[in-house]
Amino acid sequence: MIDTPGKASHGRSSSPSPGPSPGFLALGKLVKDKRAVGSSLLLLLLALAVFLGPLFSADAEKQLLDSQLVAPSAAHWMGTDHLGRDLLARVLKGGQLSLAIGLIGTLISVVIGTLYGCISGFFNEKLDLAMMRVVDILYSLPYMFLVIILIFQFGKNLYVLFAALGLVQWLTVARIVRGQVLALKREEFILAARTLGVGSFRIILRHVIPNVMGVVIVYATLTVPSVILQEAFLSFLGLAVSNCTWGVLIADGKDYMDSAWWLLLFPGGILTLCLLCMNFLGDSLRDALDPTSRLN
Amino acid sequence: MRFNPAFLRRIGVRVVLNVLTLVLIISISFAIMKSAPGKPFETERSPSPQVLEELHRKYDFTYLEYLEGILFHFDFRYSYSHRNSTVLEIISEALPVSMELGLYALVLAIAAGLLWGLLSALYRGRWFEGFIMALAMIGIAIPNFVLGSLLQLIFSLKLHATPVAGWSGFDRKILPVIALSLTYIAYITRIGRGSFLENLNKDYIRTARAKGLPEPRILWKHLLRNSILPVINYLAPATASILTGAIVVEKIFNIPGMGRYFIESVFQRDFPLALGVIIVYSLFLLFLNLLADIILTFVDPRIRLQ
Repeated sequence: MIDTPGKASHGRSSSPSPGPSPGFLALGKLVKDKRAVGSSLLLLLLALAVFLGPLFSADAEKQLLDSQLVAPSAAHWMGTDHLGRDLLARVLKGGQLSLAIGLIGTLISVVIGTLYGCISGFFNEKLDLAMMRVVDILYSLPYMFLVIILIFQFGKNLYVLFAALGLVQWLTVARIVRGQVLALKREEFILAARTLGVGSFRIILRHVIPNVMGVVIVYATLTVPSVILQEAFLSFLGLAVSNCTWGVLIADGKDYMDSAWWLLLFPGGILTLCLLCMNFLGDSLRDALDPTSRLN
Repeated sequence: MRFNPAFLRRIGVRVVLNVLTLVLIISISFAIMKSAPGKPFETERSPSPQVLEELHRKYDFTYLEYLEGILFHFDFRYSYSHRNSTVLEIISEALPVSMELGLYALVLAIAAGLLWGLLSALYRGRWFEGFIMALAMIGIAIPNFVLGSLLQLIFSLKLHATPVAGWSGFDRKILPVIALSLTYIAYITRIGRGSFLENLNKDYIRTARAKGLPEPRILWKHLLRNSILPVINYLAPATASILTGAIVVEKIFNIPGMGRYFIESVFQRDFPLALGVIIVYSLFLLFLNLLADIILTFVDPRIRLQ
């Protein structure tokens, strides 16, 4: 996926030696970046633990009536909560939901934002102006407040959550993509495609979108943590889609933190670590893919 | 000179757009809140028709009535959950509290963020820079509700250094303000560092140094003034985000501000109060965006009007 910016050079494939593609160079840079490698490994580990771990750990909902609020020990690595449930199992189960929400929410917003941005940037100026005004207006909505009443009123289910979070996040994608498309549509290879009689939508699909993918991927890696954070924020406020998400665990942990610090520290720590790694990865990816980046 | 007709016209267009946006916000919120099944006065034992009619006259309203009330009379109606209080009364008590919290957080974020950003730019390449930037990364990653709870656990419950919650008195305000502002301190540190680094290499700084100006004067008069634009640009989104963050911080520290009332009103289906909070926040944000736009044209004469 990373080598998509290289597609800018297609049509030149018959030329003798095209040299390494920009995507390949970016990958090389990324592998040399210790932060990126470290946080990727940690995230991989986290994902493995979250999705495979529950197969080996205790049942997240099983209540052990004789061991409530037990401190971390060999039997319960992260201790147990006020109902005697194993915290490690619950953190892993909550992680599944958080990661899934982060990825799917991002995917939704990226798809909508990319299409919107492409259409806005590619066609005439009047359409562009109108479509960007809409984005400007939507930007100034106090969206978190609207999301809160939306989720409260329409039930706490996943579809409402995706709709609510996706509706917010696509705006920035649309702006970024539109900016890229504006520059891109003056490029010669687009003109060439047009001269050959390729239709607008085919140009967008085959030539424009592959070329904006680099930027979109960078933005998407930074959107995943922000969606995860927003879901945790809503869960913390009591608008969770399940009784076992990281936000719920942190809110529960806060209620018992005086007698059982582990209930706050472990879910909060794991969430922070996850967000930290994703931010690091996003930053590194941006540095690697952006040739004009002054950093490094 | 900057108040030329083009400038005024642009501001006028912005104001009109802002009013339209406000109507849009009211409409969306109204539609969402009204879409839930059930009415507030429908109980198992229905009151007598006269009582019901009285209740409806005091509490019920249609979309158009509400919109007209807001736009022309600044009438926010009665709260459903707070007996005999208008929404405006509740908001006028809660708003100053939230403003104070937000303002302290913003001031702390700007001051600390610029300071750390400047230090990390001046110590480029030393371990100190790496240390600050690592702290900033953690500051950006840690959610404010985790940080707030942790601060409360450590400083209030374990060390007994500060009261656990509330808003009266200086010592109660320290933890909430820190919890709310850390993310923005971290962001401003990063933005400031980038901007300082870019400007430190420019000719005018070299000239100022060559003239033998004292370093503090160079930093304060020349560098800061030219580097501050990206930070100012960031302030409007930061303030919007601080307002959202205040919802959880007010909840954690039990501060009687707008955010806490908002969450309470949503959970109690206090429809007029929730709408009122949303409208006041929106007004504030729209005004702020406009203000940021105007300030920018004054700070940076290069921003000419289209």
